[in-house]
Amino acid sequence: MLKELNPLLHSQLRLAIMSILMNCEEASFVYIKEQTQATAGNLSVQLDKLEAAGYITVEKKFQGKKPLTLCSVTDFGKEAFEEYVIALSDYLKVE
Amino acid sequence: MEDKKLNNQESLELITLMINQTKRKLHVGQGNLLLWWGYTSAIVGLLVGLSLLLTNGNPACNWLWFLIWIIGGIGMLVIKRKDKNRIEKEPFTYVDRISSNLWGTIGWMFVLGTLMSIGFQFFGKDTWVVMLVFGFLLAGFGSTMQGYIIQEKSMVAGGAFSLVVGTFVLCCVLSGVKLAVYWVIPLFIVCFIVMMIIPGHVLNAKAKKQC
Repeated sequence: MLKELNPLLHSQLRLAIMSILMNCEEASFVYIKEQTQATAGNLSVQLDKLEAAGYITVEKKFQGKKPLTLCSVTDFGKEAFEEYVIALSDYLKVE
Repeated sequence: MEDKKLNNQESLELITLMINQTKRKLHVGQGNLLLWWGYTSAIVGLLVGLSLLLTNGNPACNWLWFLIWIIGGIGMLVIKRKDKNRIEKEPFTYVDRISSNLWGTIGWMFVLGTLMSIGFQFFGKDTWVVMLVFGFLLAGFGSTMQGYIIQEKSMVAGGAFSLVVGTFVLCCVLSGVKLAVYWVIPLFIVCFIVMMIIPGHVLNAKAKKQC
């Protein structure tokens, strides 16, 4: 029986955020916003959801006088993403 | 991009797209740090060589080697400070982390080697040559590894050349062959040209082309 796809990751913006963060150690809010072309508000909401699930960490700091938000994926998030990709490939094999 | 549900095929395509978009790209000025250390080391090497020749090998001239630390260190801080703003526009990748740790370790090895060398000087032992061998071997090792990490052949080749030269100089020291200024210093300069200056220009040219 096929495993159910993780609903938290099976959404366009959250999956895009996780894919970006899986490929690097740290990325800024500005960078993720540019890559996903999402609105700042929507991106913030989705980042909060991923952070609440323990998939990512969000660090807010200052660079000089400018605020800088850095996001990185947690080990738990990495596991969840890998499981999601495995489940996805199982679905695609069946299709 | 919105918070919409995707079908399986779309999910896979999105993952591929994002991974391709975030693949490590060269940025303008990528080779600047290499160029700074390379030119500083080569010019200071030349200065030390000329001073030694003009003073008939006065060992005090060797203190000029510390100019590499002073000039190189100041330049590195300036370049890194400018680079700090990059984190907002580009992600910090695993390659960045490995490179940073690699050169950090090599930098500390140089510091420790220098301190030990100075310590021996106080006991009347002439250990300047240790620092020279350190320069060839550590910088050569760093360049070779960095070249492998960023897949830059010119750096691998330049670093490997310096490693070979460093091993040769070490063999000379251990077997009692006298190191003469007229061949050791030019070798030192050539090593820094091939392992840092040339790769630095190559990286900057590639980055310019890519951007």
